[in-house]
Amino acid sequence: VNWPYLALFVGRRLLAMVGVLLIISFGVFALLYLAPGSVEQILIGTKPTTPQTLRALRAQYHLNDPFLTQYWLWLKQAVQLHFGTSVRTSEDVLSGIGKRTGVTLFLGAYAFVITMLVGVPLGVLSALKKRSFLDRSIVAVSVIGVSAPAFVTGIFLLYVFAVRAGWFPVYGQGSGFGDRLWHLTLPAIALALTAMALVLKLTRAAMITALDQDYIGFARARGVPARRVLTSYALRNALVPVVTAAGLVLGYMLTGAVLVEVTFAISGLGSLLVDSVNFKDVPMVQGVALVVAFVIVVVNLLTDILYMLIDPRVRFEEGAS
Amino acid sequence: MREELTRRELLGTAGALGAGLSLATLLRANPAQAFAQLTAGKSLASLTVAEAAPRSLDVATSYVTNTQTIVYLTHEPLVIYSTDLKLTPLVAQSWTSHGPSKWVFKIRPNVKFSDGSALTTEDVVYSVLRHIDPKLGSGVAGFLANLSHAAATGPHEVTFSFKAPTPLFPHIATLIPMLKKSFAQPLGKRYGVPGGKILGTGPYTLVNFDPTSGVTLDRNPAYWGRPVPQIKQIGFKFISDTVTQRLAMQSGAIDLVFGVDGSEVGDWQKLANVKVLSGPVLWATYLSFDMSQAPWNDLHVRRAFAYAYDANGYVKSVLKGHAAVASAVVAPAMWKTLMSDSAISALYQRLQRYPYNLGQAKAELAKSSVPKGFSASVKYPSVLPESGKALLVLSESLSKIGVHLDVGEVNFDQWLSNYYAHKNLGLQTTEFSPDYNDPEDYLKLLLGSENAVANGLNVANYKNPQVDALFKQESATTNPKLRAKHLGKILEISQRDLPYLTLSWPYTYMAFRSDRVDYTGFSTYCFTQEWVRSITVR
Repeated sequence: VNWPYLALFVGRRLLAMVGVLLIISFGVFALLYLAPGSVEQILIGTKPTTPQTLRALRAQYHLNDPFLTQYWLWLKQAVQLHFGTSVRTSEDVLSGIGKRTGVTLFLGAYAFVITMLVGVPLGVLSALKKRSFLDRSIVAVSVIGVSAPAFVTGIFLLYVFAVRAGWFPVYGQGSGFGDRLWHLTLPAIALALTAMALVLKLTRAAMITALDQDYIGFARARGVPARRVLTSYALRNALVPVVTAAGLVLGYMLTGAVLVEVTFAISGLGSLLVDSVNFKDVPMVQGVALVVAFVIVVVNLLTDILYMLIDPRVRFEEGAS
Repeated sequence: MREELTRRELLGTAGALGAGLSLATLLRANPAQAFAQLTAGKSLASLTVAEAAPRSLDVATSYVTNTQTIVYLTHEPLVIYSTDLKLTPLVAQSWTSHGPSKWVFKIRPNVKFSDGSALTTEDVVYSVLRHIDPKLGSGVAGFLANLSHAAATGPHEVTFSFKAPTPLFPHIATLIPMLKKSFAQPLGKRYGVPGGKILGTGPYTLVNFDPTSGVTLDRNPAYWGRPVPQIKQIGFKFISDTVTQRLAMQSGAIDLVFGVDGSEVGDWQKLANVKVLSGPVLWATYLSFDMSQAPWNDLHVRRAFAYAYDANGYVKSVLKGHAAVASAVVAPAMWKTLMSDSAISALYQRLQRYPYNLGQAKAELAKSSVPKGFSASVKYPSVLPESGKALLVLSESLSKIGVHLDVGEVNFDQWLSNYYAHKNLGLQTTEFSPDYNDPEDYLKLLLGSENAVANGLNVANYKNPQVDALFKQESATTNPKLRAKHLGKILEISQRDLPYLTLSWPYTYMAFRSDRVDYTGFSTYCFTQEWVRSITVR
């Protein structure tokens, strides 16, 4: 591995990330500004109120200032890492996000591990037994998994394994590693099922292509053991598209778990974002959007670095050899 | 999971019946032990309630039912509704009016906060006045708009003075929990936020409030009042999805849910060991006609709509009977604090009715300014799908008399924004939960001309000098008979003028584990009642 090159590459990407975060923060702020409804109305709801109360609330959230002033007020605080107080939950934005990040990371990572540990081997198996009954069955089941919405799968899992069998709890996120693992198993499976087909089918296709290559035939002819042919020759070459997909899957699992979170009553970042958007909770939405953007950028960066480790030929800059 | 285990342990050891053992088996095994177990079973180690996470544990910053459900266990108002919806003294001993603009409350001398300190008249004054401080942005401020002065007028007496007659102040007082001034004032808007502390006089104290999981309350060992509630600990679990709530109750992980939606009652009733209760009808869903615009300013058009609306069909086939057929904007049960049941039914007999009749609808339309029919549109907020269905029922029959009513859904925020802006109202549909049990609540908000402005709820722009005069007469007195007379007259006029077409009176429901507890006296106001006293442990 070319370390100085890698450091330069990472440095450039991190610099670009600052620009990305700035653009995202402005875009999200603008969209929330344009969206109908107003914080003070949402706070009061359809209840009688007084003009003084509404005026005071508007002043408190700077709603009378022009758009750019509002953004500037937010940005000035944000660059000092003061993201303000959530309108909806009255929590400090960073501590609110902090409280929910742990469970989201846990759930995302858990589901990701399940997806990979089940998806990749099944994909390899499908490729080895291609066009057999087993191959068709595996692909069919995975397609059903991806087609069923996560909240339906979730409720089904809850009914069977939590209510009927009583093996898992119905709701909540647990505390401590073991308890959390127990609480998040069903949600992680529900989430993993939504992405497993993608990983499985990509692995299958890449493996079929790899297994057709001449070097596999030569390796076999040279008497290389079958297992070594499969792992070191075929699988390693098939991994690049799988790793690309894995990066996307991980990003999705960390941010797209809303339906699973609601079904299993888990307070994660996904449901926090949706609830905050519905409430026009600008400070919290901005905070979550930036955290999510940050995570996705970092995951993409790690994926790119992983390419280099898997396939040393991969370079992302012109002129690099 | 710790609470879970304590409950299971309890059910396994003390709650003999809860563990599924029959009394006979138990008595045969060990009569003395069985008796001990039965009496111990009268107390419950913990009760778990599922609800959506509230914003805070302060009604000022979160005037919503999921806050009230918790706050009314840890805090107490001066006055509270009993299970039969009568005003009952709590922190206050008694109250008297000195004219409709002045109320004097005698405060009980022995009320103590959970930290052992005594409640003072200063605390009472602060607890009420904080809501009219605009900086707090209190959700209760609208009810106290006329409050001009509050002060201690004796060692155990507080006097409230108003700029305008406020005969309903004792009802409004049910919405205001008492706080300790020296504790709450420094916190300001931060009172009751997640992770923070609260201090009240109620039978429970806050153990923790974690927005990601729930709220835990312990019985207040220093509670000033009697009797002590039977349940030692109450947990609120934040589960917003109703299917998950049902699965959790089925598995026994939660014991009680308030606010079960009518469309889901059937699913709840199917669960074993789960009982669903409905309370008296106190809500209304309605359609408003903006009377400042054509064609809605034409009484014949409004009547044509009323005759074309098949209320019975809607309630029976769409709502599956989970609502009552409405005959006015205010439901009869709201009059209970003002008049007898027979007087109430006499009043509702007098109201003009518009039974479903397309012939009459057509005849009304023929007399209107648009005899050949017209096209109009209505948008219902996404949170009220049932109202949307009622409008489709209406639209279907209107099409038969030449009126094309286009029904569409709109995002709640967008709908709310337009509703408050009070512009281009046209037809609006909404539902109303009462704040307190007096018909003036709905009537004045919907029919008073002073509320036909931006941020006002009179979205029909109904302005009738006769009605305004009656409101003035009604609020000038605290005499229930006179008030009932004037308000009754207003209700009659409103049914004649028809600024609102009431679509239904939805029932409210709750569900609980009937093998663990029993609940009596459920009503829409349970959130602002001592609901824990409605529970008996099985």
